[in-house]
Amino acid sequence: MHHRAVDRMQETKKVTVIAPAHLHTGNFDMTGDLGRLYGTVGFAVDRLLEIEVTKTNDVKSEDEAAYLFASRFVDAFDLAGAEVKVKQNIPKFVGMGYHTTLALSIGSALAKLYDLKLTTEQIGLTMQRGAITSLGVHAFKVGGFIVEGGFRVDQREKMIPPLIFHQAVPNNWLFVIAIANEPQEKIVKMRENEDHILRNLKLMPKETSDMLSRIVLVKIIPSIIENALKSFGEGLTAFNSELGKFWNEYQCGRTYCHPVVEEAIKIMLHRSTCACQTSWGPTIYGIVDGKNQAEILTNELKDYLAKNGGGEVFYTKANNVGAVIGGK
Amino acid sequence: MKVYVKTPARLHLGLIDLNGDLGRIFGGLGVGIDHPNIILEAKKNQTFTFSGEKAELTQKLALKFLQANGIKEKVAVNVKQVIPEHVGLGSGTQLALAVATSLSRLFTVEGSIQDFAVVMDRTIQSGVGTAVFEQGGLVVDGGKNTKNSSKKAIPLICRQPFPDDWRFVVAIPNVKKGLANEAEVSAFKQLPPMPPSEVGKICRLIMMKLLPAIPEKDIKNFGEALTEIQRIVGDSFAEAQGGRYSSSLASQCIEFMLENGVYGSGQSSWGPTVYGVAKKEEAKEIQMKTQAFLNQSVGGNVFVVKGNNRGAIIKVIK
Repeated sequence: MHHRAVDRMQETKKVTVIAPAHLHTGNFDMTGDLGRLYGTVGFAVDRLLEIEVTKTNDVKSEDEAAYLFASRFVDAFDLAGAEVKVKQNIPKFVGMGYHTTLALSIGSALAKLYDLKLTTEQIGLTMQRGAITSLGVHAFKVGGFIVEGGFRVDQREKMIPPLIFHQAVPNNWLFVIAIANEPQEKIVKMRENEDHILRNLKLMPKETSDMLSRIVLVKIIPSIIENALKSFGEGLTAFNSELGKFWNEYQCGRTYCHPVVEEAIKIMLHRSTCACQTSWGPTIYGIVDGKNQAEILTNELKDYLAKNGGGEVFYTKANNVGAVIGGK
Repeated sequence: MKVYVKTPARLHLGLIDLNGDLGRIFGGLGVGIDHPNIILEAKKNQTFTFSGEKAELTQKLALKFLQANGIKEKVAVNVKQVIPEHVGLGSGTQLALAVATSLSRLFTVEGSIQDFAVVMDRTIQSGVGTAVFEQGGLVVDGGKNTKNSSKKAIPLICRQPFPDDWRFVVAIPNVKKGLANEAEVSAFKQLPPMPPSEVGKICRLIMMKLLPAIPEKDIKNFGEALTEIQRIVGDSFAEAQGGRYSSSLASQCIEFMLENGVYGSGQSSWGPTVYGVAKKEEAKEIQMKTQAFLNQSVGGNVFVVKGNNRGAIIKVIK
């Protein structure tokens, strides 16, 4: 009896998870003829989600998405329940990985509370997040700059694409992130159609996937190893804009999601060799060296967005740690 | 005090970018294998003494390292075992780094293996041999920055342990040796630039087929990607070596191995060494068949080898 009482006292009652948002740069293989699809490039950044999860007898949350994910996990493992409090959020529906990060955070917290030994990949599959592109899974696990190798077409939604390259991003490389308000309504609508779009996507010509793969392997990856921000940014911009052209039929013929974003990209390119739209947008980001440059560019973009429908602009370093899961 | 070094050998599995218009040229894929090996011992000595195999070359390498580091003392180096040279097994880089590393321990010279590769002039073409010496495994190097001089380390961009239950069947036919040193540099210079479209194919095969197959232990896809990369690279060298591979025998041997159960096959560097990747339990039989195949013509040496996932072994003996 005595031992059991001690065990109960030490049992984890509350788990806090702090996890980074991510920025998507793009997918390098949308042809699929080699047996895999997508392959994703992106970053974890220090804009953080924070949740607190406690054991309860049913599922509770004031956040709709959190409630959904907690229920999914509780049902999958036949658990009693949990209450999820979202203490700090990352911007929603703007291409910074809010859903995946939330789902993995909740799953990891529940796994810890109920002492389930699960990998992040298993949690992702349970939550039905991260199986098409696993940028969010690897951002959660290890942070930094991430390249994953796509899923096998014969295992679609049954596997999490493996990490094939990972590198910490130098702390003086700062991400200037601009989220324009103007395009958001349109993008939220489009996201509702995302699954349909992805399932019916036109195939990318082989030559384009080949070219994109080459930019990643021969330009982007060696540049980050050699700390060469200029050519790293050039590679990212070339890669991202090439994809923008591929997706342009979903963006009214544009490389970027909206004329306001297009103009903001131009402003970025005066200060940074990198200017990319993440996922469907509207979030865009550039990378500059040091605080001075970051503040100048942030202010320029703030001024511009203030006159063009408003929006949020900030800068942050990359997150080279991934999620931190703590129990109390 | 004595320093003992034992190196792996390397198979070169393909070049990545023979165009260079994105600012980097070459880039390569390779793997460390468990034998043959270079084994040497070095110690401080009253006189310069170079014994065992490759004494003359070893002396040159030792003097180069000592001079570069302003060391006036003398050494004795005994090379007990070598990797055959100019057959495509990377003997030059392994010997140079074995000498440099052993002397660095004797004289407490600070520096990474990459730094020593620069000192020993092993950064002209490829970073694969250096990475194999350092840590073994399957490695991808990111090529030379075309704006840098040759005196700059070539970055390792990816390294994965080679699966324990995969083997290489390595065949060294008794034909003329491959290109090396000046002849190699000049052959590279004469090649027409590879079209960007071909480079792109190689890059996508690496990222979407070869690399993911390793953690997934998928020898079929790994092998298919390897064979295909070898074909593209081989065709771009056809002008310099008179065909897709260094000899018609190399081509035949590669085809023979593919027909007899290896999952992927190609030529290491300029040859004549060719190899196939096989499952552990199937390798022995393929080795025997390939040996019989070579014995019908020029003969040669065929062996089965594991990947080396450790790199060189360096021991200081008090």
